Amino acid sequence: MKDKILGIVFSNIHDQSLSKATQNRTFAAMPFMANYRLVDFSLSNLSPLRPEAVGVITKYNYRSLVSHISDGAEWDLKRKNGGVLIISPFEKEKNKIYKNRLEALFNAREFIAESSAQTVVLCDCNLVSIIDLNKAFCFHLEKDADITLLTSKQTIKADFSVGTYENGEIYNFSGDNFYLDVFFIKRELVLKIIDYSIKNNLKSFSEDILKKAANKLKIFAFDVKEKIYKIASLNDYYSVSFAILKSDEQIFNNLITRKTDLMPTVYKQNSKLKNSVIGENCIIDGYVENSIIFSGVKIECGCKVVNSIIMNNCIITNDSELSFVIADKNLRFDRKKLKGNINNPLYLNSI
Amino acid sequence: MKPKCVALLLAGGQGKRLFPLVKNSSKPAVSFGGKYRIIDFTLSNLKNSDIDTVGVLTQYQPFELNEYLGSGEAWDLNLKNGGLYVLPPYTELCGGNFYSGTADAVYKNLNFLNRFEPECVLILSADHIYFMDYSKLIDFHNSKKADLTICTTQVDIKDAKRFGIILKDQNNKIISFEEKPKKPKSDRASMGVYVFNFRKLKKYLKQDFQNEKSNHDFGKDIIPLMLKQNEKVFSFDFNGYFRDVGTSESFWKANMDVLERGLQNKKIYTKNSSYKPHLIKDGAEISNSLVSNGARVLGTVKNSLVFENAEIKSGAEIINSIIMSNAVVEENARVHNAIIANDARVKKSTSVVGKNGEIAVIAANIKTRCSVQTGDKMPLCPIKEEIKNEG
Repeated sequence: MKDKILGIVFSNIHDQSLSKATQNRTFAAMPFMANYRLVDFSLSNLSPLRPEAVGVITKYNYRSLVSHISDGAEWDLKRKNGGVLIISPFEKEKNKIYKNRLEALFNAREFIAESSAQTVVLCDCNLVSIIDLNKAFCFHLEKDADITLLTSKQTIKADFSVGTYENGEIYNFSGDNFYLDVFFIKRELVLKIIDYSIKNNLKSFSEDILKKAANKLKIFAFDVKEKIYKIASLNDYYSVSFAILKSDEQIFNNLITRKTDLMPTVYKQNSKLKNSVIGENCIIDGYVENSIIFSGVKIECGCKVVNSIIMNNCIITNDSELSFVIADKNLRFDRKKLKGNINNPLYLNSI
Repeated sequence: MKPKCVALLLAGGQGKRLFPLVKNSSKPAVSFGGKYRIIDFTLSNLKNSDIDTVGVLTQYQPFELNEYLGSGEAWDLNLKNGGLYVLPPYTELCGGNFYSGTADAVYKNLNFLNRFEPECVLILSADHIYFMDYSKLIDFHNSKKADLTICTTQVDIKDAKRFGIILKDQNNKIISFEEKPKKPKSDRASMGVYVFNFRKLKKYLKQDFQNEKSNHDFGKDIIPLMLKQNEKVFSFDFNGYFRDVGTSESFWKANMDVLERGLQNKKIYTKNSSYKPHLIKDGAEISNSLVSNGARVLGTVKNSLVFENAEIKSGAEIINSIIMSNAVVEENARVHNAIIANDARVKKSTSVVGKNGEIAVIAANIKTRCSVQTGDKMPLCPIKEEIKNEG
């Protein structure tokens, strides 16, 4: 019989890296590829593990995230016992709004303590990849590891990298296996770590716990074979979106999001399109090339959208021309000619 | 709290004239308008009218329809009290039968209605495309203190033979009703949408059930009987958009209406089946068309509808056509004035062409091996033969 597992998703940890776009939403709720939000990757990856429960740790600005996740039914996480739970900040004397991962976990301590699962898997929302976590989970159990870190041999921006023996056990914290901000850990151990770090006022999970305890614990690295995209800045967000548009559309196959009851998109007489991803309920009568158009966008005749990301319900009218632009939701472009460049796309959340 | 009105959806019809599209499912479950199913329109009308106790009567090929309805969640009908009930034919101690007519189907579910003791019962067909607020109809029914209110709409006098035709006085009281008359007396046709006073409905269904000569049909038997016995039968005039999608031509036309007119700002609820955005690749040319989630377009699409997860490969040309869910049109194929049903595949460089105002239909799950056009003897497309058989 398969062992039970508990999931934890950190929704705010990387807010700073998309600071302009996360004023009114969490990092996890960042809209992505026309129909999705970044949290869809975490939840779609966790769903096949049939987790007993998934706690989504939030801090602030979580309205859009909560409404997106709803009861979790889309990811088969609407369960009688367990299922998805939004863990919002809970301020009391000892329990301040958290500033780092360890304090955030303290906020979720009860949720973890109440569970009967033996293992906890923790992940952030900055990975844009569909990963078979069942393989990693089996590896973790097989090795009877205390902690299994998910790593990739692709060179990506990472907090740290590790060197491993042939069996996957970690021997040092430098090497060519880059850490992916996802790890499996024994539930009893994570509770101990929470208590220890709060008592000793520790700040960093990787610096103060992982690296210091490496010789006392059995820490393994599981090498993920899937193609990894990671978002650490708005420029990454832009370039990853277009990398997927260009060559990785199969990423959508196992990606689940919240369904909407929007009408399909309608193309009018003058529409001209090249190589684009389009959401629902758009009305397009203009020129769109190499762009990602979210649901509800209207592009009128005479307007041009090139190399851009246009989020929900934007209206582009009166011969506006946009290129290398990331337009956040609900903007109206009237006679606007705006241009960013490929290495530094122009982000707009107001006009 | 007991609901004042309970709705019954007749969703068991076979839809013979739509045969190639309903091979594996019943007509209400046929996909429509990109991402919808035909039954979504009636269920959404109910939701938009705040009617939340609904029985769906199923019979013909119900698997896909049952799967689609599920708990009724998509229409907010997953309720503890009320909500969606699927009502298939059943057997009892002394045996049982399939539903032998619309009235028989309702008669066999009187137990269901008795449980709620509603004031009135709304009877609907699940295979029409229209937008209607039933609460106005029910208000009208109550204000007239009617025993039966029939929704009527104006039809082309040429088509009147296909409908139940009514005559009414200036107070909208119905004087006569003829089901599919040879010589129609007016162009006012029943839409198959009825509100019955529940007490009267029970009375007449029981009476009809005793009559062995009856067809057990609302149009042919129950309504004429009620008129004969001088019950208060009224007509509620509906002037909005209304389409019967019983034939492949009318199905095609109603889909084109969605493209031209949209959904008239009405919210239609559906069980979405694809999460993916659609992709338009280089070489694609799209104009005046509707494209749904999950579709991939590499070819030319004009005046057409592309349903969920359909694929139009490069060089393919789709004009005035409907490419239904999961269908594939391969490289350099031509599809003009046609319907390519769910999961069908039009092979490379072949063509499917509807000529002389007719619509060519490629049935569900079929692969075309050669080019076809209407008028050809099409083994793939038995629609013409079906219509002849039906007379």
